[in-house]
Amino acid sequence: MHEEKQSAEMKQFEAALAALTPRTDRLDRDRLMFLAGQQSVLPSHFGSGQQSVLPSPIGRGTQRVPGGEGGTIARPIRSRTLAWPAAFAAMTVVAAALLVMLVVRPGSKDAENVVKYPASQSAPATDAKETTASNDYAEQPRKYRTYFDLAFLSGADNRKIGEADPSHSNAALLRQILAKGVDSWKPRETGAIDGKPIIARPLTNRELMDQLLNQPGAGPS
Amino acid sequence: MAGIGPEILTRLLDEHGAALVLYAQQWCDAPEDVVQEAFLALVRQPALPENVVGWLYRVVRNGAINSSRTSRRRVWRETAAANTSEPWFKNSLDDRLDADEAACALRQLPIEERETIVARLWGGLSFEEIAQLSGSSTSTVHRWYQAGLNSLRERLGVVCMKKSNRPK
Repeated sequence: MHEEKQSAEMKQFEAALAALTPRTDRLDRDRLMFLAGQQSVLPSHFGSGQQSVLPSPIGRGTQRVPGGEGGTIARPIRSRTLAWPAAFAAMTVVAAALLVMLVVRPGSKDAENVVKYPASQSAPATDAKETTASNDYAEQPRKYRTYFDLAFLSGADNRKIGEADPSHSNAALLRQILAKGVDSWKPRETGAIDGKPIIARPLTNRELMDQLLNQPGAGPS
Repeated sequence: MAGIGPEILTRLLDEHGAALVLYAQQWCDAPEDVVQEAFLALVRQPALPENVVGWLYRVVRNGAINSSRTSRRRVWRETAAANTSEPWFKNSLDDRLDADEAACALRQLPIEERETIVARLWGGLSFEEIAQLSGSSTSTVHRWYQAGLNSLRERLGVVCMKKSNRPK
């Protein structure tokens, strides 16, 4: 009897509680319908993931609403969503190709070119003096060669470093020109045509100037 | 609309919008945003869910919990959401219960009992649906409901200490 009465009271209380009506003015119904209509005209894959900032329906700041009116829908979202995967796939393919090339590439056929060069044994204090005293590279002994010379030697000179005539090497000519200028490059006559010697080097500026000035008819008219 | 027509959406809004807001308010302090997103998610569905109301409650529940979790001061926000002075119910002509006192008593219940009572009384969900929502058994949900009702009844026997600031 007591349980029945308690149950009846509970039912009454439950009904009284259920008679309370939740507030209906909290949802912005018009805005929701507008947004729903906006969502409905977009393809489903366009709407997903597209977010824009919209004001809250009750003005509590902003909220994230997928595909809201604040978003830019004009730009195709599919291209935007596919851009990164496509770039990732392309870079992966490139990286894989490079890796394969690295693995299957043939080994280097270049033999090691070891140049045995005797270390300079003389006192370096006398080097500068002797070098300035005699800048003619051809006259310098081999022991005064430095790695600077080696850097400018050709491959043939490298191979024949022990036997090559220093006066004919590129490094020797370079050193000579740097020390004394182009004019110190003595022309070597390699032959003669019509009595004029053929020299083995191009003319210097001065020689060109002299040649022009000495031509018949040259000079102020 | 793709899977849902405007008539159905309007009817769902009329019948469940307010209850959904009240339901979401148990976790977060911006329940309107959560409910709005749930309805928009429903619009984006290619086909109407089998149990639309249950689906809406599930989405609202997840959204409200996520909304509260993303906040740094989650505990504070949950407490603030429950203790907010904003009225939960409309003024009723029924003088059996005062709306503010009922809301005040409801706020003081544990979240499980509060969620069950709101979903059952104002959402109209069955105990099975509430059990699916909360991931509990039906008997557990029923026990929560009974315990919550008893607590409410006891609390409403005394004057709620927290008076609403709502002008009457």
